[in-house]
Amino acid sequence: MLKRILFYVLIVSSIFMYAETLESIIDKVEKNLSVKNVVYRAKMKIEESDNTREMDLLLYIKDEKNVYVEVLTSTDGNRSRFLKKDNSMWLYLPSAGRSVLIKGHMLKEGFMGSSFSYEDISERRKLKDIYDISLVNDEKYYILEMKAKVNDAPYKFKKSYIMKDVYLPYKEEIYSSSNRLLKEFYIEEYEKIKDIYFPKKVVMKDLLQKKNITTIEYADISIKDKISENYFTKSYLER
Amino acid sequence: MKKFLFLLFFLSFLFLSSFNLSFNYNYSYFYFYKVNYFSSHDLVLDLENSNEVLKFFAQFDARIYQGDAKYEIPYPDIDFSIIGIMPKYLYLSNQYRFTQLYLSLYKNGFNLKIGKFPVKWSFSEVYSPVDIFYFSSPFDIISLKEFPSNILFSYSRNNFTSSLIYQDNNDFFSSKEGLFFEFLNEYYNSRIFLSRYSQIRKNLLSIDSIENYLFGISFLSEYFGPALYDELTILKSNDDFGLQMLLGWDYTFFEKLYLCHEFYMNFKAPNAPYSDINIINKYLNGDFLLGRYYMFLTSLLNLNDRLNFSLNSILNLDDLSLIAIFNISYIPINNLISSFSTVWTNGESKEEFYKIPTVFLFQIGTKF
Repeated sequence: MLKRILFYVLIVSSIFMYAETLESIIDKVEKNLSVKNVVYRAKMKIEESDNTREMDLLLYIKDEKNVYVEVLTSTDGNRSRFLKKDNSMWLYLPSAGRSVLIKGHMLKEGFMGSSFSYEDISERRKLKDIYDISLVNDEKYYILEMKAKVNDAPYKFKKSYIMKDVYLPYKEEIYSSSNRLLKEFYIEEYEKIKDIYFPKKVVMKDLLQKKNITTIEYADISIKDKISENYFTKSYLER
Repeated sequence: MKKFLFLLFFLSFLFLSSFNLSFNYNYSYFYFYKVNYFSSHDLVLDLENSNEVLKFFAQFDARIYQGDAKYEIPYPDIDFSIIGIMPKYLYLSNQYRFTQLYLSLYKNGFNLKIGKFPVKWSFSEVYSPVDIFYFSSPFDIISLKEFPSNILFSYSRNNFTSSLIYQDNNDFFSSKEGLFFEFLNEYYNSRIFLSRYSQIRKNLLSIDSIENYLFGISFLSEYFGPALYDELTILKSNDDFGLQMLLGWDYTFFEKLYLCHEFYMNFKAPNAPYSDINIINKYLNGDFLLGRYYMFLTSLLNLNDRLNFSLNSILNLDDLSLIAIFNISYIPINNLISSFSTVWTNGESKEEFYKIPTVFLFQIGTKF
């Protein structure tokens, strides 16, 4: 009888420990990937089958709802600016002198022509609100399998290989509903700033294209106490 | 005023030491079916320097024509040259000009922008009566687009933006003033416009000065998936009131095909069939549209990163005449863009889009 009770206690406690581990992994990953009040520069390289473009970006991120990105220089002359304010996203084109509203149906398009979609950068819901997540045991990584549970989830199925020491995905595989591998995302370098592991070099590969690889290297990362609201306005975007 | 502006630009030019430069070169070949053909070389230079407070932007366009650079006034049923009000052909000469040139100061949510730059108020992809400060016809593939001189003062706080604009068009009678409010929300984007502008309206016998007051509201929502929008404007011209409305939607299908469909109604405009006077007045005053009810279509098919097709059209729903532009754009190698466009009309005599010579345009260009 005692053995049976002990067995049930062990089973129940292991279930609780398992659930807590999954929750805590997700929380730690989200903490690293959704840094608030940060300003940094980035070098974005977009490699296609017979074309390579590079651009230097300046980014202000207050939180998931307030994002401002400015192209400082680019090899193709692109000097556009991007604003995300709540659910609205705007792209300002200086040569045309107007800002274009990125509508919901345009979210699958590439952000500034890269392999990252507007959806990749605009999603602000918690992972567990849009995916059913399960943890697969592995020696090297925490493997999170994420299956969409809402209709408007960016992807139907996602597999994330989380580094056990820093709680950042080493790699993410993004699949279609027919289980076709669409994209691969890598964090190749990272840096510890305060108590956050911040990605320093990320790579996104669009596997539907013959060759479409976007590499972003971050520099001059500065986590502030507060960023002024003034950067996240249409007046600043269209100045 | 102009000397002051020049001094302001010159000083800012001295203060701003490093610039971002980009060049765009295009060779264009125009062919007007059975009429004439000519070509042009177009060099566009963008110059920009900005920091968090100050921004300077200049766009210089140099266009050199080769060949018989002229085009026919597009209503061959009436020879305007006989009645002496307009030449039969417009001759194009080489052009060198700043199409945009402005200085912008930004501080604590306030923005002051002075110079030549475009101002777009409407959601419409084709035409809207609220775009009184700048409008360019999507079917005009010939003219160099030059933006007007404005002084814009705007203020944003969170999701709310208001702006005040003054447009100087050389004399008081063509100056324009406007007030604009925009509010963004999770579910919708709404705008309110208020403006005053004077106009000189010409007709065959007289010239009238008209004082216009425009009040408009617009609303865009994506709550149901596609973007749905509407614009309603009330225009008071001297003592006459007119109501205009635009309804539209747009959506991207299969991540490749973008469609935008709009209906425009001007309840004060003449009914079809149009008289010669109606037609002449349209050309004399440079009006974009003449009739009451229209359907606009904007479409773009991105076959892949290198090849896309677009078709834009206006159908006059009163007389069923049509104007359309079709474009194929292809990128054969890095930094080389080629395109083929054609503009054509379909209509009978006395209809708005009476048959004009079909225009073909081939372009090849590079950007660096």
